[in-house]
Amino acid sequence: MTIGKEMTRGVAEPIILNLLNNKEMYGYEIIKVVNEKTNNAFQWKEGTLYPCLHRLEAAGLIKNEWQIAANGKPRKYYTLTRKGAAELAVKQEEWNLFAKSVNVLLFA
Amino acid sequence: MKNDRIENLLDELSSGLQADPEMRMDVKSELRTHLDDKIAEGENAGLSETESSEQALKSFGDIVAIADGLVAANASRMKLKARLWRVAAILLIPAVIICAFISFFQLASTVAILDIMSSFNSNIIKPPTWMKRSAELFGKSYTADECFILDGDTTKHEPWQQQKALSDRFPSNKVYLANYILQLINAVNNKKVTRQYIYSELKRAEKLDPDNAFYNYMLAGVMLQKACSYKTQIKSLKDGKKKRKRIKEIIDFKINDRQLFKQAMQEYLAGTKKKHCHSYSMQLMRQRLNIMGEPTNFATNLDQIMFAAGTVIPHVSLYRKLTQVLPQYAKLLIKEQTQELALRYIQSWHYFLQHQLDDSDYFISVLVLIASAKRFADDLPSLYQELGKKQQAGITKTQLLQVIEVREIWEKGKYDYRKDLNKMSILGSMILPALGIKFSEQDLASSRRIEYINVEKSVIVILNILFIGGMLVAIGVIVTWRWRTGINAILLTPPLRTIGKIFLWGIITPIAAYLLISTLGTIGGHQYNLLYNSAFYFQILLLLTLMPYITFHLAKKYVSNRCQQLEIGLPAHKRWGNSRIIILWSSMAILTVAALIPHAYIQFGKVTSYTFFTAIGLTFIYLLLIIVHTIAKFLTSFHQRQYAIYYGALAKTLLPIFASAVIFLTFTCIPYLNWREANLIKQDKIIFGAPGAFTHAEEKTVAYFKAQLEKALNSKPK
Repeated sequence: MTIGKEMTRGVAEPIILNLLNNKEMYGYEIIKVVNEKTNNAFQWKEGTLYPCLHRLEAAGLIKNEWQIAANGKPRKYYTLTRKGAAELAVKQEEWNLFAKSVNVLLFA
Repeated sequence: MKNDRIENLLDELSSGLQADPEMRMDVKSELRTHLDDKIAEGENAGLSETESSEQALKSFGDIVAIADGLVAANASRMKLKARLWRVAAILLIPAVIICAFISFFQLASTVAILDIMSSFNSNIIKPPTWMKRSAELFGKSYTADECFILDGDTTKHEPWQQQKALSDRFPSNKVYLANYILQLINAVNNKKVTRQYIYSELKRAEKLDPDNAFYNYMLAGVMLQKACSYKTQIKSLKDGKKKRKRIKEIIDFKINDRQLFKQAMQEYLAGTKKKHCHSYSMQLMRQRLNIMGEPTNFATNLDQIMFAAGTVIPHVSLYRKLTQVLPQYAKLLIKEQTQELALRYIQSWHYFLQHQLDDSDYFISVLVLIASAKRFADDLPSLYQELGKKQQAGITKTQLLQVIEVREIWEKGKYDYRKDLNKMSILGSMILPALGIKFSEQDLASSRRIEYINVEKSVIVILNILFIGGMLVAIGVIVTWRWRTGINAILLTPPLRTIGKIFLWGIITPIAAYLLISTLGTIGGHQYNLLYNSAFYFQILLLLTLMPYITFHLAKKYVSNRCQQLEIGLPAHKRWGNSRIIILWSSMAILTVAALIPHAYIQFGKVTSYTFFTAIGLTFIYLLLIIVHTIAKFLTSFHQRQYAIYYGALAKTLLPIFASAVIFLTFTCIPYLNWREANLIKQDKIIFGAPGAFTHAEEKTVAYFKAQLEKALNSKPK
């Protein structure tokens, strides 16, 4: 079973922030990790990821750094900024509250 | 085919970002890598290249939605960036134009300084009109009256006519009257001025300032020039007994016009009875210098020194003439049996010397006065004796010998300036040695430093010219590539960190290195003046070559990296490319050591032309190599059509970096150097910033002499 676009849209940003909190990553890598970790329950596409990454960067929550691979190909890596780390903590708390509230309403 | 499809997709995805070519290329490059990864993954899973590409392209889904998403995500950043560049362009363009003007102005003042210095050396005295110009260059403006006081009536041709106009305009002003008379006497050999006119003008002046002996003496002096001739000849005689050479002065005195001679001597005698004697030369100079304002920089100060040095003092030679003639006339009167009149003339010496002392404001006039005393001492005591005035002979001899002794004491204590010649400022070494005063290291330092500051200002101006020149070349490159390929140059915005790095290593570090070297006396050689400090040429060379080179190199490095990220084709990097900066630094180090070798000679007091030829020769070769290298690089790039985008981006990105460098140098270094210069001029106790006098040193020396001479002239025999 896959999760609908509407469901994932709201959580895409906190998920990216959390992934980048652990290590620097590039776009293709993020999609792969998300899809693998959720057993393809999340099926992120480029159209979801890149506008989201650019939004986060414009907001100063993440920053990019180009690295040139051994084959001479450039690759853009993203890392979390301090502002992003703070935002992540807020979002995580927010999600906890949201999940609890939704659980109460859906399964009580 | 595959690549074309990918490129078409990327073009479509980024079509909304056209307004910001750099961002569009950035997004395309990011998505291209993503697609490449995806295709490679498909191929690894066993798909064919075409299948894998097909799958990767399809996975992007709704292209229009992604393109819209990217525009929405980046819109605010694009707007902000565009706005920032617009503001930067609005600020940078006029700022660079202002900087160019400031640089031109500084350059003009340097040229003015060199011009004045060279004319100072060749003793060509410039007219006052010329002097004003440099002060005007520094924002000084004069009222019509001030101009008139400074120059007189410049519509008139001859200096005496110009100054007569000033005196006529202010008829009750004794200073302007005396000034006109001085100019008139100076024109005594001018065929357009008759002697009769000079006599009549002197008579008129005498009536206007009746208590001033100056006009009587001047009239007498001018008349004597015509009425008699006075020549001296030095002959060495052999003294048979002592087998030693003896020097004897033979005076050849002839009266050409006895009537005029008598008239002149009567005029002289009338002068000795007057209350005071003033040519007001110094007063006028002070008034004019006050109008020119307190000097705050080398150029205006040099103007004032030159202005003071150009003051005409023809009266001093007329005083000398009177001193020569007086004993001769007394001798003649004794011979003609008019003892009483002879005694009156002999007795007048004291009043005359006292008057001369009143009017001695310059070092040269003080020395002439002592020479007058020497002349009197040779003849007057013996003439008194001849007239039977033994006591007066004794008093006169004592007083005159004491006057002469003032100079002898000064001569004995005279400092041998040659020891300090390399430590004195260049200007100082031209005007101070005659004074024979010993100056402390600290005193010498300030005027020397002022000269260094002026060269440093010129270096900043040259750097500005190099950077502005670089900007013009960059504009040329942008236009040329646009014309040849039709591609607009892309501006690659360096992040603040990169800009900081370029400034730190390209601008601040070379300046800091120079400041450090220049403050370390032994290495920097700033304890010597500019002419003796060969190491200084290399310090300048360091600034002139390293600053533009490092700035350019770091900017180029950034552009190359960025082009690699954006997958813009760029010329192959030579293997030794990265070590170029190391090569540059080491060659500079070697050249500096080479410069220090002749510099070390100075430490032992030896200065040879080798010092200069080594420094200037190496500097020239080095600069030539850099120029040849730059031109060669430029010409090579011209044929590399495939790298048009790279060269365009490099040129366009260099523009704001070079502009910022020019603005930084102009608005930090030049004000700082001006401020230091103004402070040093205030601090200087030898040459600069003398309040309306030639130099502090001359003023002090003259004050010392005048006090001693006053005492000697009025000394009483024990």
